Amino acid sequence: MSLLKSLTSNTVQKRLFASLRDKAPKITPQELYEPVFEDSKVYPEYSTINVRLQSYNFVPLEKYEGYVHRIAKKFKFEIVDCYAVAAQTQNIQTYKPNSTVVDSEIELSKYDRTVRISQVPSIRLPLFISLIQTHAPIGIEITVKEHEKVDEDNRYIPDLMLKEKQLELKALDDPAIRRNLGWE
Amino acid sequence: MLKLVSHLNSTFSRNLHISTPLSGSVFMKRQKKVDPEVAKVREARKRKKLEREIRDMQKHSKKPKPVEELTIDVRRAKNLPERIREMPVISEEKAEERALILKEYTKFAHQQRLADEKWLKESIKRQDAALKELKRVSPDLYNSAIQFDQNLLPFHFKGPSLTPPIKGYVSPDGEYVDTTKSWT
Repeated sequence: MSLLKSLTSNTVQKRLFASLRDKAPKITPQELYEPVFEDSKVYPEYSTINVRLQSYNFVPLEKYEGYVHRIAKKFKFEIVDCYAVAAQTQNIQTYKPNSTVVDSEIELSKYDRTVRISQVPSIRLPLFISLIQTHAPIGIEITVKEHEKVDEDNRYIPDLMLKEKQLELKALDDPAIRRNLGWE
Repeated sequence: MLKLVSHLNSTFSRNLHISTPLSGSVFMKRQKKVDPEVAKVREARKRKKLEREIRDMQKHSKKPKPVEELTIDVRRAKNLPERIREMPVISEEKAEERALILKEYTKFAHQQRLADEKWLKESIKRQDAALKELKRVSPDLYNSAIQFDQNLLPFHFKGPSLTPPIKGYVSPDGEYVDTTKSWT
């Protein structure tokens, strides 16, 4: 009836009150039995990144590590871990001029801190790095790289006995030794 | 003479026995025949034992390398009371001066922090807006824009030095000896 009216006259029907059907929630087939969790991530993300800070001077290094941590929180990166690694020690011997007589012996240690962050969008990382660079203290070395298994293994003392046992187990599969077992 | 030699030759060739495994060295054991089922069981048992040992070791295997600066040096902790110094007394004018400088510094630091946060907010907003526009204009370029930058990582940066290079500095001869503890 409304169609005929719209055809015959120039007036268009204006419905200001929603019908009951309009008020009902519109369910898509996916959300019928399970709620839909939307992934709000727009940009591709790096999985894990290590920000390694090294310095001979301990106090600024610690403060700077705290700063990097806070900035990562500001960027809403997920901070996986924030740890120290054993320092690299050096024994420096200075010689008197034009001789090899030892003038002084200095023991220096290069301290090492790492902040591990994950869920870093690809476009936010350059911003993060430039901000960190601007506030870098004196004498620091910053290395930003993707996380590898070696980085995690370097934190722990290698267990030689465990390695031996694992080699033994692998050796049982070695054809030369299997022949000596006597049943093949 | 010839008769003696020929006699020796004959006796030698008759009395020399060579059993094949023992032909090489003195250290080869006589190989016993092992019942194949027994050997199978032995091998299975050995394998199980090794696997169990490996599992037990892996539970206790991860010992982190000790970080000296985070551990307490027991020897020095014991004579700590001997080495406690009293705080020096600072005159009132100096204390006031210091307080005023501290106030100025905190004001400056606060302004820096605000500027950084403003920069960050702006940068993120502009990045998002630019990428949204790029997506609208050309989806291919947008897709290549949000990919990871291959030249960015690994990123190495050295913080500033305390002074610019000193003119006419003669560095002394010497040696660097790496004394880092290696655990292998």
